[in-house]
Amino acid sequence: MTMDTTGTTHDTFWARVDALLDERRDPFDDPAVADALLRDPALLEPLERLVDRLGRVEGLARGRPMDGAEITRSTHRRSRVAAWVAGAAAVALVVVLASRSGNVDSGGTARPDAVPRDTLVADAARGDPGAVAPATSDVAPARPRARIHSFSSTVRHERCDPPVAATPGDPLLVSWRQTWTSR
Amino acid sequence: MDLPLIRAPGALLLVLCVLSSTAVGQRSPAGDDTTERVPLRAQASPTTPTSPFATDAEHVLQVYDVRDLTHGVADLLVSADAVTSAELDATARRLAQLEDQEERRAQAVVALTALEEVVRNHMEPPLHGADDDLRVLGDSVLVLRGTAAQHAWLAAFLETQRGTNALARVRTTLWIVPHGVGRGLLGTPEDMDRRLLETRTDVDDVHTAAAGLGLEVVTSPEMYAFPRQLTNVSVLNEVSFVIGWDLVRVEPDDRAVADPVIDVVQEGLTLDTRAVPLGDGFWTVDAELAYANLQRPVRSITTTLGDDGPEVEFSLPVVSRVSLSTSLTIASGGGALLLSYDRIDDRDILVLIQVEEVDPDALIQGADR
Repeated sequence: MTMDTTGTTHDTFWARVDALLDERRDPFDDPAVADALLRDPALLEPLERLVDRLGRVEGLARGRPMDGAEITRSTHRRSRVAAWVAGAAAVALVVVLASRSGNVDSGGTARPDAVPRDTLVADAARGDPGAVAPATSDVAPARPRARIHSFSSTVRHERCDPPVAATPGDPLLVSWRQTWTSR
Repeated sequence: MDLPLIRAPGALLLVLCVLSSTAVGQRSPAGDDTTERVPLRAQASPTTPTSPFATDAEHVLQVYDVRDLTHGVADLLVSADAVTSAELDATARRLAQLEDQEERRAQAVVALTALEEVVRNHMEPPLHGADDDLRVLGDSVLVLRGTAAQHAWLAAFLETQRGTNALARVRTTLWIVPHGVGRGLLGTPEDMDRRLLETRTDVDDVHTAAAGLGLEVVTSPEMYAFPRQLTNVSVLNEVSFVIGWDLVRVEPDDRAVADPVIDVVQEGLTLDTRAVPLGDGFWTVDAELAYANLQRPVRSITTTLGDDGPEVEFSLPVVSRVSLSTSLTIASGGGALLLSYDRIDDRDILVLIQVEEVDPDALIQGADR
């Protein structure tokens, strides 16, 4: 089973979760749920929270916490799903950020004149000083210096004036509201 | 320099970052890459979770776990629960669990956003946004794609945040003086409206000069704040006045009665500040000041309502409002003198902002005496 988690079909996801919980099944074991989480990692957190809270309620109802084996299995499953979801998020982030770099276009394809990405990564991992140095290795951070980054100010006067149409002493004047003007 | 501490979720994310990045790299056309490749698994070794991910010759991507800076102590206790529950104090844990999780997460997101804003505004070399980028992930992770110098700055900055055990005393002094006097006190060319006071001596000199000129301080609020804490002080006075009248007829004799409509004017000062340590005794201060002054005496007019209505009196208040916003980096004890000109009343508004690092223990001992 696959689910579309975009737009209003979040409802479909939660309906599926509800059904699984009603059947006393762990949503993290369900392939459709996992598939939906991979496509929309933002669903992971509320789902984890829900399952966590239900677990607590269940534990209270039974008068004891979940036993160790359950916790271990559940945690393991969740970690597995979380790993895939985090991986998906990381892929998205890396693609977005790296697509703006010099050697990879938005499709992830290396340009002919660029140093292959794998080489740079590998060199960085090896600590090869001739390649991409680790970010914070030998470079001293810039020292702070005193300066005023920005300054802006405004001065305005607000005054309460009689209504323009009102004439003091006008016998037809039965209501008077002053208005604020700013300059 | 120590690499940022990456705990389990961050480490997992980074390891997967490296893994996925290599997957992206493998999309290149076969045969283009003649370089000998190192086994990809080597880069995802659990022993090197903080290895940066290179995105080009200059820029690397690195993940910074800043949970300890964005979450409250109670939240950290909950997070640590699964790992070292035996070491935790039961009472503290119980208190922590009483707090609402959503609220804690919302606070953490706010704190992370504020941290990201400070980093974005003050990073050296500055972020340009074209080749480098800073993102936040969730409520506890910063991701920087930048040069080695930028990563060095961020690592040092985070180290400073974690290691600073001091309060910032932000003192603001406001003068409103006849036009020209402020310029004389500022002592800068005609086109300048600001002056950096790099040392405590410079600040003291301004106070001495102002006192010598007989300038009266309008207000001088002083605040103590933790690093990165957003602080606010308001000293307001509310003045009520009649903004309108309605003529109403009342029974039994259909008499005309004037019913007043009341409005309220607030005058006084509101000051928002945030002070962030940058290391080497330097602080960056963002400050926003709003000052409102009700001019006295308040004018008034008298008139009658209707053909046989009562005589009524209206107040015609005038309020001058000064709004000022600044951001500065200064060594402890230093400050800035800022000038604003009120064209309508032909007067200068001078604001001096001073930031000073204060040892909290000394402050407590001083209060105890």
